[in-house]
Amino acid sequence: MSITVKNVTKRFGKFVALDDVSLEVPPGCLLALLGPSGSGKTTLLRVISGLEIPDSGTVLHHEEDLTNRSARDRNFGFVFQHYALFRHMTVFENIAFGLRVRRWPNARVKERVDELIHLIRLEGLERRYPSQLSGGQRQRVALARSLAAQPRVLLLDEPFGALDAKVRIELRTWLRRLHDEIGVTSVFVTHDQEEAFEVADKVVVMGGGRIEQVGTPQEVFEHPANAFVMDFLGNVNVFHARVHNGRAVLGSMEVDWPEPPPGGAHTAPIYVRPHELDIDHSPNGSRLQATVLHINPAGPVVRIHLRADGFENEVSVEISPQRYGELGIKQGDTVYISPQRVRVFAPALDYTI
Amino acid sequence: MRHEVPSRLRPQREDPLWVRVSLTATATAILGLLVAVPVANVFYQAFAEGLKVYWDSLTGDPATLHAMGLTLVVALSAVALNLVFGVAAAWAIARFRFPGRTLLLTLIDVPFSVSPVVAGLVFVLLFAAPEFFGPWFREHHIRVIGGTSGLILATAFVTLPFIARELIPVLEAVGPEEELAAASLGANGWQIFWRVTLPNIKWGLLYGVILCNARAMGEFGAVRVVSGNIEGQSQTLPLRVNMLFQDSKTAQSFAVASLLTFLALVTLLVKVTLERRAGAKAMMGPQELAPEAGVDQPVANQSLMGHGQS
Repeated sequence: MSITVKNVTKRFGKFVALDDVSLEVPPGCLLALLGPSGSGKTTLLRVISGLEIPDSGTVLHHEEDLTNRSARDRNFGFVFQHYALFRHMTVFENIAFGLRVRRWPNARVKERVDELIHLIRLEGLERRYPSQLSGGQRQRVALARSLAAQPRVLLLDEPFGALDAKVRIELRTWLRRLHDEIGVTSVFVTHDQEEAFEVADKVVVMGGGRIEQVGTPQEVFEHPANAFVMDFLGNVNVFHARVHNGRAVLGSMEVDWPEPPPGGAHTAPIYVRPHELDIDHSPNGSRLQATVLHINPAGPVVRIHLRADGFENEVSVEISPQRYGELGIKQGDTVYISPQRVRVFAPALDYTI
Repeated sequence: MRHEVPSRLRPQREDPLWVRVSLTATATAILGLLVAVPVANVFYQAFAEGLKVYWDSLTGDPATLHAMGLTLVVALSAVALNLVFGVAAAWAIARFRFPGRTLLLTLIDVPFSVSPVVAGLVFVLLFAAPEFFGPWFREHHIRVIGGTSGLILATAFVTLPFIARELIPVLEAVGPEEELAAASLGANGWQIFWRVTLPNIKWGLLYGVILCNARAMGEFGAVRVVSGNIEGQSQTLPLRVNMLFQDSKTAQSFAVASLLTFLALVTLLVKVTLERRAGAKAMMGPQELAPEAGVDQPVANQSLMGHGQS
């Protein structure tokens, strides 16, 4: 493994930022740490970088114990969310910094920096100061600076968080291409699932200082390990179905659900993604009646918001424009919805129907 | 169309003329009476008996010349001490949260609130009185009180807050991120300080040094207590001014005073220049404030990204 994190715990006062976390990053992998704020993802990145010292646990790089090594000795590139460029240095000197402190001769510094300037496509801007660059340009300079001394690992803390939407999408496509080109093991932190799924080879979902799931983007999206991951990935309908005789019933679907303890909740959360719900005018065996609240036909799929009888939350359904054309439904109509696929995360029980 | 007036212009327009005139006049009068007239008077008195007397009183008196040299030595040493202390203390306070941090912050301010005479007395007690280090210093023939080292200590004490107090907000505004970035790029502590921290705080630091120096040269109370005020030996310029004045050598006294005043005016000039400079830097420096950055962004990025695909 390129990076191995073993049983790392980190507290800030009483707050447990990392709770016995273990993680392995294979060589050459581009891994995303995904989670809501406070989930410990940035702390984990900083522990790997050496900017934060864990209370317990170890960090290894190819079997070499780095836990007590300072950030300076690790030679891991680190890209900060707000770039942290040296404001009194030009683009050239910013990128050259890691080489200057290693006392590279001037000629080699020039050669390496020119190479990186070309890589980030900022030719001609070498003598600009950070304040004279746009956000996207600054982030690319920060990236080049961290790559200059050929780091063993590249760590990025919400690298696109401070950029506007358009630049963010361009830059993450570029990052993916760059990674394919240079192949350095990389870990980046994000709270944006779309970003993680699009860029990363492997996604680690974190919550409350723990790792909730590790997998490829497809594995995580298709088979969320638990209710937390499902909730965090979002874009899902939650039905609180009544539990009766060990079964939770939703429309025509029935799933096993352990009988709640006395006094416990008699409902089970059932998750259905919007595209896994069918919609029709007639009941057709469905027992879920709903009222159309709003229709959004703009885009590749038509989004329909409904209120299902007997459930509190709004339900959203995605259908193809063709299907929408066939149905011809409009706001205020009474329709019937039927789940094609449901997910439940029973206590200590996890399966998909 | 009152509501169309930009809000920051409004107060000037709405205050009646007489309010503006009388307020400005009062402020100017007080400032003139308390500052401008006395300063002008120093120079008037200094030159009252002609240029020759002025020049002679500055260069012809060995005691005065000695006082000039001593003041320079004392001020420079005190500034050097406070430079080291100020940078270290400001850095510790701005960058770390440690037990005793608030106490340290309060202690730095003590010289501001303690009367310099009291400060001087404390040093006399500490280094000369038999209860404390007095006997030890006497045994080793080290003369702190009445010697140059005593003057330096007292001056350094009085001017202690200047550099630290100036730097703490500057360091806090700059933030630790660039230093962390430097560390992750392989820089050691000294490299981080010289290449990253110092360039970011240099204007604030210079400003603190200038103020500290001005205060150090002008210090009277604490120095008076520890020096013994011996002519040609432990007399700094402010003490010299006082002694000449006591001896009714008014012209000489004001001539020396004019030198100190002149130094103060130069300090002010440098300070204003530095503030302009630092102000301009503050507008340019922090990345979030850059006015023109980002304007060209979509186009620039597009073409650059496009380049990558070809």
